[in-house]
Amino acid sequence: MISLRTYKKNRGAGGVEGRISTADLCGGNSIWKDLYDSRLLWMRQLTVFRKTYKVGLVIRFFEPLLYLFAIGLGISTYVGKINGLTYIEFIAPGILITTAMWAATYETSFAIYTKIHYQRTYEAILATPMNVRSIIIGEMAWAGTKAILNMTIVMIPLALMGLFHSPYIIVAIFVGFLVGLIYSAFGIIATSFIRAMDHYGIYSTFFIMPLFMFSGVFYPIENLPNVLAFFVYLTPLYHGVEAARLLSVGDLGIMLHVVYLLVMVVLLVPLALRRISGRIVVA
Amino acid sequence: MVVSAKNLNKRYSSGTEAIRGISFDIKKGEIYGFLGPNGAGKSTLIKMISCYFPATSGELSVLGLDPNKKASKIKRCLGIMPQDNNLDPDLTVFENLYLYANYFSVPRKKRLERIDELLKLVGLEHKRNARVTQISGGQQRRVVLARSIINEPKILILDEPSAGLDPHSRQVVWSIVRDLNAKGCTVILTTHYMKEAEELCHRIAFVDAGKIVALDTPEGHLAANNATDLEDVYLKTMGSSLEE
Ligand SMILES: Nc1ncnc2c1ncn2[C@@H]1O[C@H](COP(=O)(O)OP(=O)(O)O)[C@@H](O)[C@H]1O
Ligand SMILES: [Mg+2]
Repeated sequence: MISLRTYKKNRGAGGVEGRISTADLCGGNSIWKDLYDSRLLWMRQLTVFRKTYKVGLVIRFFEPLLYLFAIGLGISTYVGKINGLTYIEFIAPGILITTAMWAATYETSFAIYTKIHYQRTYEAILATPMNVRSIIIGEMAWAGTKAILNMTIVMIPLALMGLFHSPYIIVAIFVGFLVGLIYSAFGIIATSFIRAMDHYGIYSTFFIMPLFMFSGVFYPIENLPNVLAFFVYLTPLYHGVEAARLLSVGDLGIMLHVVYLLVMVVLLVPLALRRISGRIVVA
Repeated sequence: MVVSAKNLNKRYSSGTEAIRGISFDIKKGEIYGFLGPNGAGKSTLIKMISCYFPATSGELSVLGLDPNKKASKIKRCLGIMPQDNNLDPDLTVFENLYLYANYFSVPRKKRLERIDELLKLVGLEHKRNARVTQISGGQQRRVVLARSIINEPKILILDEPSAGLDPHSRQVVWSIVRDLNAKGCTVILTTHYMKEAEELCHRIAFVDAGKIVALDTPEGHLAANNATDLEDVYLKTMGSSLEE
């Protein structure tokens, strides 16, 4: 029997066999140093974003209105009030939170795949003091930033229409940030499996869309069969949506939802890092 | 020694043994070349020195530091010109350089000065605000070179610097490399182009199938093989011809 310590000492940087771990690719940096360096990747994203943001902002502004009018107005004539809310008021917080999901998904799927396989952006950045960990943390932070930004833009028309009954809805932006981080980890994990751009269709159809449809955005999940409702309880979007809906009526009892989201962040971020580092640096 | 390797091995996760027991020492201020055919393992070697990925086994020290422990610190002092251009196509020439300097934490004011200086050096001041997709391959390569020295590196590492270069750009690159070297910068380059090795290198290591098969000064190689040019030496040491 060899102890774990001897094993670690003897295995060398390349690992015993096969895949190289994220730590092996991080060249001895502490996690704190990489967290600090990740801001540099974030700044790169900002530079690129500033070149094209105007069109994007306009789209973000009108997209949720489309949902609200098409789905909300159409369906609201058939449904009465849900928990004292009109149908549009009921779905508005969910629309707000899903904005975070879409933002993070976009930033971490096609965008990262392109940077790895076509533009080889990371390869260039790895020739600087940056490493895979600071790069990916930077990407996640950026996805979280985009989530915050897009939610802020979406919130304006919804608030102007008087769909939120409490200013506490502002807190939903923080909730959405967590949802953004979670979905950025999902996006990165998906990217680590994908071998061709087209495969993202699998991810969106069989993962993103079901989680979106069964998240309590469009109806209370109590309406679902118990088994299905149980699965919905396990999904992050549901907790984000529930929290935002509570906030929209001035209820601050969102602690459990937030704790759930935080735990998901803590579990998924390292997993995403582990999955993607071997795809960025094929060693 | 600026770079020192002992019995270095690299086995990719695919199973390919790209480097099989290489040892070498690169001295401060020299231009050291790895010459060998495609697939010899030159880029793999460069990537280990560049702290891109760790060696599977063996010892490597760069600037006296261990790449497994001090990669960021080492990379701060390296200038790396990769084999293929990997400029950021979303950005202009200026933005590419500006962001790169940012990764090295070059102070903002210094950064702007340095970019002006470098664009002049590579003769691309007029392309400052062009998107990198709108300039020629040779010009892109020159931007890559400018980018690689933005941090005033102690070691400049060039992987096939003149691959795909027009003669004019090649001259620009070579003269910049010589000037930097004259100012004390150590240069490590790979090439499969004899003339380049002959023109630039103080010492040349012939690499084949992941091993160094001969190491000497250009003159030393010629004398040892009783040859008139490196091509001849190459044929004698490796027994196969290089494709250009
Ligand atoms: N990322 C990689 N994964 C697996 N094998 C690789 C990888 N990169 C290079 N190789 C293989 O390693 C060997 C050496 O390649 P390389 O270092 O690129 O040679 P050179 O730069 O001298 O042309 C080749 O057989 C090549 O196919
Ligand atoms: Mg090569």
